[in-house]
Amino acid sequence: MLRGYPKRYCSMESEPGNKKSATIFPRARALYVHVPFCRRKCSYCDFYSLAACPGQEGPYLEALAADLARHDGGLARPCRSVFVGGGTPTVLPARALGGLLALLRPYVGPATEFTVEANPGTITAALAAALVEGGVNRVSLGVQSFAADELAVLGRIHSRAQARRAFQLLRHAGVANLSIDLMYGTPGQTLESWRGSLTEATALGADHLSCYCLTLEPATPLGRDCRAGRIHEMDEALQRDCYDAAIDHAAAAGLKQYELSNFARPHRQCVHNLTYWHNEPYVGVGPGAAGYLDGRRWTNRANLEAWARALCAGHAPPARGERLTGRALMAETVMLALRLTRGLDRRAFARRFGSDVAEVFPRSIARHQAVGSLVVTPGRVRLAREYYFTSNAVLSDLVAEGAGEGQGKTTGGDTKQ
Amino acid sequence: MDQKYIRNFSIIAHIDHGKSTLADRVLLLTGAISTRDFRDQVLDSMDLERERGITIKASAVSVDYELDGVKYLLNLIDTPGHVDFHYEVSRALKACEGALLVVDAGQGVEAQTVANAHLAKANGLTLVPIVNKIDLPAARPEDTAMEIEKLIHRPAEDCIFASAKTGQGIQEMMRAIVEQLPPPAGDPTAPTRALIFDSTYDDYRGVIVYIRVVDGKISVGDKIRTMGTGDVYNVGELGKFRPAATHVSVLTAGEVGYLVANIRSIAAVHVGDTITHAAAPATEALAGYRPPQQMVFCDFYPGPETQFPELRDALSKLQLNDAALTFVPISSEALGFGFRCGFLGMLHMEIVQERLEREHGVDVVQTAPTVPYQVQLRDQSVHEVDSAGDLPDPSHIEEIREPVVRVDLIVPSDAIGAVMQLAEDRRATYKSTEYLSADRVILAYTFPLAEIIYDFYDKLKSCTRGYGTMDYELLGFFPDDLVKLDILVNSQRVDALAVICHRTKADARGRKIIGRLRKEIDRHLFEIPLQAAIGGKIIARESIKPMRTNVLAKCYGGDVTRKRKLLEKQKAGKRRMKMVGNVEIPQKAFMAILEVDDD
Repeated sequence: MLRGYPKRYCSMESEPGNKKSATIFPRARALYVHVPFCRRKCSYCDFYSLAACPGQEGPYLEALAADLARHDGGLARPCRSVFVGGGTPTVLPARALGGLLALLRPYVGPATEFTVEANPGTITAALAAALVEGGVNRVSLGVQSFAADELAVLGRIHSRAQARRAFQLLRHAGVANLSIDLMYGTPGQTLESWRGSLTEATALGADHLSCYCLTLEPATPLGRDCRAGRIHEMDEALQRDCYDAAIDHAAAAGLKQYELSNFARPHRQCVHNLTYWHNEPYVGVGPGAAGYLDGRRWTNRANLEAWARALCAGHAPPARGERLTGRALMAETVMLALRLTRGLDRRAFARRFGSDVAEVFPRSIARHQAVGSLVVTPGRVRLAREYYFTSNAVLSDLVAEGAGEGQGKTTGGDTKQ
Repeated sequence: MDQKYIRNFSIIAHIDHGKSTLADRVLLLTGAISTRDFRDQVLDSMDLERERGITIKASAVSVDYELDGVKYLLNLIDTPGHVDFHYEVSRALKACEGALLVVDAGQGVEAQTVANAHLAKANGLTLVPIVNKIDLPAARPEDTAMEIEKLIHRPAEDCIFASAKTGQGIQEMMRAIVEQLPPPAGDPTAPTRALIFDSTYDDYRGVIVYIRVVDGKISVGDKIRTMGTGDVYNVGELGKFRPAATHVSVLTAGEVGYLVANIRSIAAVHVGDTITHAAAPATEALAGYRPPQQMVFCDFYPGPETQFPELRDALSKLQLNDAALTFVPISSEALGFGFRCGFLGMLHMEIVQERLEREHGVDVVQTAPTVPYQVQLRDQSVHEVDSAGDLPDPSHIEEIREPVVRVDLIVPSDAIGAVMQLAEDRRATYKSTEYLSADRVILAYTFPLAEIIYDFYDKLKSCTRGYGTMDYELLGFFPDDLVKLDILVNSQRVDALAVICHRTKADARGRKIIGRLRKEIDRHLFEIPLQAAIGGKIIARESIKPMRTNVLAKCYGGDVTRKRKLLEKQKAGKRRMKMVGNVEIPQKAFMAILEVDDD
């Protein structure tokens, strides 16, 4: 369905961002690239990744080039953001990484936020230099913790010292925008050790901080350990304390919270992730990557071989997809926007959908306004600060109220796009 | 047909003692169905019944049988198999001269066997005792025959040992039906009287009425009158089920069949009523008629996925073939618009709820079942109240009367202590003990009906290792010290959660209900106080602490669909919720308030 875009997009939107050529489905200005290789799978991770093994990169890059080419008509040049995630992109050998960055170069302009996710255990001076050389201006460093015992539980391949060293190498190489991912909720973690990790991250001078609560996914080693009773999920009250500590600590360090789990110095918010939260289109390439274009969401099947085989044969890779319309689409827009501390821009919503959000979801909004979990002003609807950590209670109501009609039509388990 | 060649009979058996298979055997042996057509439970037409192994609606099948060169017409009248349908069973038996008393050789006599055997004897029926399932390894045919001897005071040797499954003893049984059961009496020349013993609804023909002609005859084209309800109809069609419907032009005294008379509502036809000729009516109706009596009530409200009119339409459709179901529209502050529904008993209620969901796709929130109460006011007027919410102001009430039932329990003798304790906890009054055998005993009690409608049967099963069985019969309404117990959720009185209970039990009951609610209601974004009160006095209090965490903190990259699905999943579990103020109360909570004996 995505093959061969309707002509009008290609001709009308020759100039990216040209307001006059406003169409319902503009070109994507964000590109996500999934690199499915890891040196070792972390014990909590259920993202798609494979043990890196030599010889896979060539076919991967070839297929990636084909995947990009398929979406070329739907992508702005340059993009506002390019994000290379995984997996562990930096586990690629130098040549392959160089090849990957070169492949993406056409979508990178002077103002593009070009992010690569990196595992601290893979960073060397040479690799840092190669990233900068390839145009990368933002690195998201998956530190997760600075405490040795937590790193061991999480199955991370790096040490605290390596994390510090990686950060300094990247900074030294000229990466101006450095983000650190930290994780709380790790079995055995204490509020003190969490505060310790926060302190180290900000002391290093991180420009951006993502603090995620560990989710014990069933199909992971940690999930299994938990079911078997070998480890225990962190107590809810402590999770909440960790969350509150992160907000307080980040604020004190000059990193302002702008999303439920994200904090940034001024002008250092993640442009790429904002695309998701504003529910704007993006293209995802690579096995397991998700995209959203022309009102259709898709997720490539998380299988390197199947993905590469299809592309090399000139076909679309296998994917599951859905097309959202009407209230379901509006609910999703609200669900995403409410993750932002600024919340939803009511006027932008009204421009996009033709009605005010409070009229579309009268029950949920009135109810949560009464409870105090939603702050409703003429211009915006946002979550109240004390309810960030219980946001699902609000979001699930909105999604349910939106499910009345225009429900997403799933286009099958593994259909061709 | 000459009456002396007719035999009308029923099969009396406890659930699962093999009634349906035995009936199928009769059909097979008489050629009414072929082996190829042979399938289990021909007489039970609804899927639901088959799944539950019970028969809800009676029906009648006529078969030809030749014995020693003489042709007979056998009418097998099926009886509902559950305690809720006591009255319907009694009417079906009234249409017979005899019954096969079937007892599972592995299980022995059970409470329902006892109740129905007594009912049959009270109606003057001749019984043919049959010990069934003798092919089972666990069968104790002789012991079972001894129990039957105790029960019906006939020598154990009279029992026929049979297996409906293998066919053993079936010929002997057929001979006994012809030789032991009397042919129908009744006067073919007297003014017509026919007993209505069941009815079903057909979309094209309207109500199909099952009748047993007692005196006189009915012909197609006759103008008839129902003596209880006083309605007049023209007979459009008469027939018999063999088992396929077969038209006849006349049904005479002693015969069993069906009648179609363009009757559009099943509620217009009452089981137990007498049909006579409009022009030459009988002077006296057949004895024993009474209108359907609902003994259990609950409210159905449309669930989140259902609109009020959908629920109304679904109930109307169900009522078309369920004369015992009643419903009236009501409105509750907490739950909005819904229906107060009346049922013969708990099983009947469960069946209706399941049929609403399965056959009509509606989603209902159901309140806890209650019994009807008679409230006598100080001005001496008496009002029937079937919901705690409808109770008048206590200052006007002189007394509240509740339905009391006689209950027969058959239990292993080593469980007598436990059963007596259970009965005592339920405000029962002991009547008698009767030994059925050395290790099985019949305990007779009177119970307030309210004490046994919900989980009593389960409790009985658990304290008798599954062997206990029960049957009940209404005795009447009797006064007791009953009060209304209110439940407040987040300071709001939830009328659908209110219950009427005995004053001495109110404290414990209130605490337990609140304890259950605390478990059933999820944490919210705010603290939720729960209170139980009698009038203005709070007798129990608890609170549900606000939730501390419920967040998708993890980043799923651009996989927004996954994120949304997770939220949808969270909500999907809450489908059966009802909003009361800002509190989501799960449907289970409305039922749970009766399950007060949990931990």
